[in-house]
This record gives sequence, structure tokens and C-alpha cells, in this order.
Amino acid sequence: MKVFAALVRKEEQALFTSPIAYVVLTVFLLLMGYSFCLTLFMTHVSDLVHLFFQIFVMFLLTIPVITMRLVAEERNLRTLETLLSAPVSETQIVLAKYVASLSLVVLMLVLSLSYAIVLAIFGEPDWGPIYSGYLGLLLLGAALVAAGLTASCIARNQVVAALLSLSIFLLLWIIDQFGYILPDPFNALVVNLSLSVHFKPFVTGSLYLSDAGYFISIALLGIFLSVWALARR
Amino acid sequence: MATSLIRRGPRAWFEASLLGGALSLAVLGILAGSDTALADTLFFGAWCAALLLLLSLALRLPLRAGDSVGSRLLRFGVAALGCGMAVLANVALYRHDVHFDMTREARFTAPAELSQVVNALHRDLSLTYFYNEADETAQAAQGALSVLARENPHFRFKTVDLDRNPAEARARGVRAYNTALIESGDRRVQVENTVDLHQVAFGMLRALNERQEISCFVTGHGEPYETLPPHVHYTHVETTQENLRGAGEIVVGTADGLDRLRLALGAFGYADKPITPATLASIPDECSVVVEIGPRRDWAPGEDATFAAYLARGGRLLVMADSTAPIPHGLEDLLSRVGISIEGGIVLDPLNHYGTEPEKIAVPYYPKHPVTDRIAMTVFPRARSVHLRRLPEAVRALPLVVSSKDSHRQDAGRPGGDEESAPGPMVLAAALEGSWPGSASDAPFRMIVTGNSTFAENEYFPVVSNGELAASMIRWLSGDIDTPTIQPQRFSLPQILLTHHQIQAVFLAVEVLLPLSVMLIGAAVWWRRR
Repeated sequence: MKVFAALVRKEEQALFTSPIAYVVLTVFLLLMGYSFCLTLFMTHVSDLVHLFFQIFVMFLLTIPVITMRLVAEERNLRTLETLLSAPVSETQIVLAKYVASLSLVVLMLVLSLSYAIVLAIFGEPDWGPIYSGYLGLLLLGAALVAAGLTASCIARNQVVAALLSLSIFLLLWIIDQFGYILPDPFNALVVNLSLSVHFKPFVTGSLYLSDAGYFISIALLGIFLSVWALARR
Repeated sequence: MATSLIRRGPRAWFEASLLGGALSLAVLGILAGSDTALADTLFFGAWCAALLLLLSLALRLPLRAGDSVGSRLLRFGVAALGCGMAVLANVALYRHDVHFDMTREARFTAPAELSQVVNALHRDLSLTYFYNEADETAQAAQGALSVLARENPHFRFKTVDLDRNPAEARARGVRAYNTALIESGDRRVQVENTVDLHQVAFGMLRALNERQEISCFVTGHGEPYETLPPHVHYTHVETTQENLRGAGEIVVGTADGLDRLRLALGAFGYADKPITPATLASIPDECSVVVEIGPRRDWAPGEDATFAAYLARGGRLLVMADSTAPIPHGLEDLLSRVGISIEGGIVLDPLNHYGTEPEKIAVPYYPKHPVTDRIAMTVFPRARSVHLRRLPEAVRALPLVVSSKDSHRQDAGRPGGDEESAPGPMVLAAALEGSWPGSASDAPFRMIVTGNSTFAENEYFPVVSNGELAASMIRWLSGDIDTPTIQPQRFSLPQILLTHHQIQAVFLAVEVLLPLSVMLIGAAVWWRRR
């Protein structure tokens, strides 16, 4: 456990001393802040539904940037061999990188709570959809980080890793549109692969355990495939 | 066992705990079988523990395989197996799904009536909802229907944005926003211009009904029934006047007409037709219920015998007396056979009345009966009282609507005169059922008698729960009382209105200070590291 904690600390340090984390956070806050203000001032609606959908898209675009360097960079810098020859398992390495990257996503969500606080100060928002929306974003982040980590373990360099994970995310975002033109029962299968189909109910306050299960299973599958891909090297 | 686990290390402990947790939750889920939501929530917990256990066990597999073809195939096989397991786990979870409505207004919770209809479906029923994406009320209705579509595979739900897909709407004969097109087998029902899910539930019942219920309205004695169909004017509000929510229907008809009642019955799937018993040898068998509302002229000789024969074979009769006209003698004779009569004069209620007039009796509470089970206050203007005398042995009678203890009866011709009765509760409506006196048939009759017909006529039908009571009476008589309520559901969104200074403060905090502070922290970290 001590080894794992040390590994997490090392990854956190690498992430939060690099400019990537701060650039991502600043861009995220600028765009979301603008979007929040615009929605609130124009519609006067006291909810975060629009904002949650925009954070969803932001996650699809920024998480590949966060995860691309996790393993691919170590491979380029040739520090991966050193790490693998240390008395730590592949599982511990992958989990440490996963936890560190997820902590940045959680930090983004924590900072975005300021918008909910504004709503609480000036109005009486319906907290149910806000809680479920944040739960959905957390699960989405957990799933995307795991998938991005897998891409980083598979790809030989950071750009390929980022492009690979971005392609997967975009495909999973819009795949339900193809599902509707397929015959039964393939349509149901393809529609249920979609990230947006499983994310939308969280945002609107309509919580299904199967949607939570979808994101949890992607996260676990991503961690499993990452460990296998790392061990293959 | 514990010693063995301790020797094997914390990972073995972790896996053993996961196994124990998954099994315990699964057993608890099986034990909670009757409460499906609780059982499925426990299964979800077991599912999570089992998936974690599988991941942990999978990571125990030999990771560093060689580069031979066999090793590559093994690696590919394990990865494919992992993906397959994830898909199967999701399919299992989807089949035991649990839904939580997190909204304050329960906007994703369909009315109980609609849930009952969907959960009871045993054959396919499809619902296509033609709506406008910008209409929040319609979106809420659509959201609740989407939730239901996941509960029963026989219920297929699809939405069509009328603005984006006018061709499909035209091809299927849809002309108005918020139209639910319900199809089951060969039956096709359109519920137009509604965001009220109760109406959709009734539409579904109509689509599922093999048999059409027919209410036969008695005519020929000056009853207010019009043979022409009710003339309805629709108002449409959802996109152009956002401050007015929901669709409105305005009935164009006389104050004493029955158009509103007929429309409400139509929503429940009932057809109505006029009958003139004086010209009939017997009441037609197709009548689910016979309705005699407000007779103003005497019955023809022999009509009471026609009704008696109908009731003797298990007929269903609703009688609403008109308080401005004498009770037809034939009707009096018919009622006296089961020991009841409609009294002269009108009931005044100084305690519970509508507005300032004691003759408009307000009734807030009812004796327990399926007809009045979910009925709020009703108003009876100028009502007569129903007197329950000695009932025949095989007939049961129950007062449905009773005025307050302060009410009294007054002769309509002499207000304040000697004809006032002593104060006390007066029965304004009563329900009877049992075997018709002298009948050899086993089929029990049902009858409701009210001392007033105005409460069900156009003018008073929309007043508080009058309409619900009138429709509920007819539905009880025809043996169909599962979903009597016709109250519309309303949705609204909380809003925030900010002053100019508040807008500036919010913008400064979330758009300037927050990103700037993160950027400054990043710059400080970079500077220190440099």
C-alpha cells in the first residue's frame, strides 16, 4: 500500500507541476464560466443542465490531453523500463496513473461547483438533478480516463495516444445516431454503447442504475486492458 | 480459512470480502423479491462487487506472455473475454434496472394510472409522440414516457419533432403539436394536443380495449342531451405564449348541456348514444350503462317497466333528477320498488356552501365508496335530497354524497315558510346494488340516484371535482373504476432574476476571478519549479 501511495504521489506531482493541468483547468473554467453566465443571464433558469452537457463535451476533448502522456511519454523518455524494473506491479503503476489523472478531473468538477453555489445564493435550484449530474460527470470522467489510459498504453507516442482516445470518445458520443437506422436487435446494442445516451438521464435528474453500471464497467475494462497492454510491453 | 487468507496477503482478503459482499447482497436481493426496486438495487450492489472481483481475478492471470502465436492468441482471447463479460454484465443490469427520479417535482414519474397501464401490458403497444422540442412541458411528458418505455418491453415509445419531421406527421395524419399516436394491433388512437399523461393513459386503454363501452343517454323527456357531437374549440399555447402552460380546450355549448361530460367519457374510451325507451321493447344489450339526466317531462306509460326489466337482468342505471321540474311518475314508481324516493323542495346548507349561496351545497368529504375514493370537493346547486326508505332484503344502498349536519330542506315555492325540515345531513346521491326485487336473474343490478343534474352539466362540470364525480359514477356503474382521476399535471421551472449589479458580480467571480486564480497558481508553480 505504501508503494502504491508513493506511486500516486509521484504521478500527482508530475501532473500538477506540468503546465498541462493548469492550462486545461484555466481553459475549462473560462469556457464553462462564459457558458454559465450566458445561460443564466439569458434564460434565468436555475439549473445546470446546459452546463453539464458542455462539461460532457469538454471532457471528451480534454481528457485525451490529460491521459495521452501517462504511459506514452514515459515510453518516449525511456523511463518506462526503469519503472517496470522497480519492485512494483503493472497493476499498481496503472492504478496510480489512473488515480492521479482522475484527481484532475475531480478538481475540474470541484471548481465547477462554484456555479451551483451561485445558483444557491440567488435562487432555489432543484438539487436532485444537480447531484445526479455531478455523479454522472464523475462516472463519465472515470470511464474516459480509463479508456484514455488504455490508448496511452497501446500507442507508441503521445499524439497517437491522444488521437486514438479522441476518436474512440467521438465515436462513442455519436454512435447512437447509427443505432437508430439498424434493425432490431442491433439497434438496441449500438444505441446502448453511446456515452450520451447513458449520460443524458443523469443530467436531467432521471437516474438509472444501468447507466451508472455502464460507466463503471468501461472504467474497470479500461483498467484491465491498460494493465494487459502495459505488461505486453 | 482466515489464517490462510492472512498468509496470502491483503489482496486475498480484499477478494474474499468482495465475494462475501456480492453473495450477501445477492441473497438479500432474492429475499426482497416482492419489492422489485429494493431487490434490483441490492442486485446492483452485488453486480458491482462481482465485477470488481472479476477484475482482481483477471489481473492474477499471467501477464507477461511470450511473443509466440499462441501467446498472442491468448492475449487477444483474454481481452475479448473481458469485453464480452462487460457487455453481458451490462445486459444483465439493464434487465434488472432501477430508476430514481431526482427532480423536486417528480417530473420523470408518470402518473400511477399510466404506470399501471404500461406495467400491465401483455401485448405490444406503440406510442409515437409528436411534439415541439422547445416546449418544456411537452419535454417533461416525453421524459416520463421514456422512463416507462424501459419498464416493459411491450411498450414501444418514439418521439417525433413535428417541426423537424413534418412529412412523417402528415403521413400519419397528425396535425397538432403534442399528439400521442397510440397503436396496438389494428387499433389506432390519437390523443391530440395534450401534455397530460392521464389523457395518454386513457388513450392507451382505448387502444387496448377490445370492447367499446357505450353510455346510452335517455331522451324523449326534455333531457339536455344533444344528438350532435360536442363542439370543441382548441387553444394552442405551447410555443407562442410561454407564460401560459399546457393546452386548453373550450367547449362551445349551452350551460345546461352535457358536452363536457360526454367529452370526459370519450377520454375514458366510452362512446355515447341516445335512446328513447318509449319506442323500444327493451333497453339494448349494447348499453354498458343507461344514463337518465334531468328529465323534465313525464315518462310514457310502460317505460318504468322497460327500465325494471333492464335492471332485473343486471342493468346499470344512473338517474340524475332535475330540481326545477317534477319527478316523472314512472321514475318515482321505479325508485319506490327499491325503497328510495327523491324528495320535493331543495336542500340548503348554511355551513358548507359554494360562494355565498346556501343553496349551492359544497361537499368536502364522502362516505367510503369506490366512486368517491379520489374525489375532492364537489358542488351541488339547488339539489333535492334522496330518501332511503325500507330497502328490499337483497338490495344494498350507500349514501355517496351527504350535506352537512346544519343543512335542511326547503320547499322551492315557499322560501323561509313552514315547509322547512329540521336540520340534519341530507343524502344528495346514493348508490344501490344487489338483486332487483322479484328478479329470477343472478346478475346484480347497479344504480346511482342523485337529487341534482346541474352538477354534471356544462356550467358546473368544471367546478372543482364535479366532473370527476360524474365520470366516476358512470365508470363505477359499468364496472370500470381503476383510473377515475382526470386532473391535469403541471410542470414549471424555478427561475433566477438578477439585478445589474448581481450580474456584474457573478460574471466577475466565475468568468474572471476563478480562471485567473487557477492561472496564477499554475504560474507560481511553474516559476518555483524553474
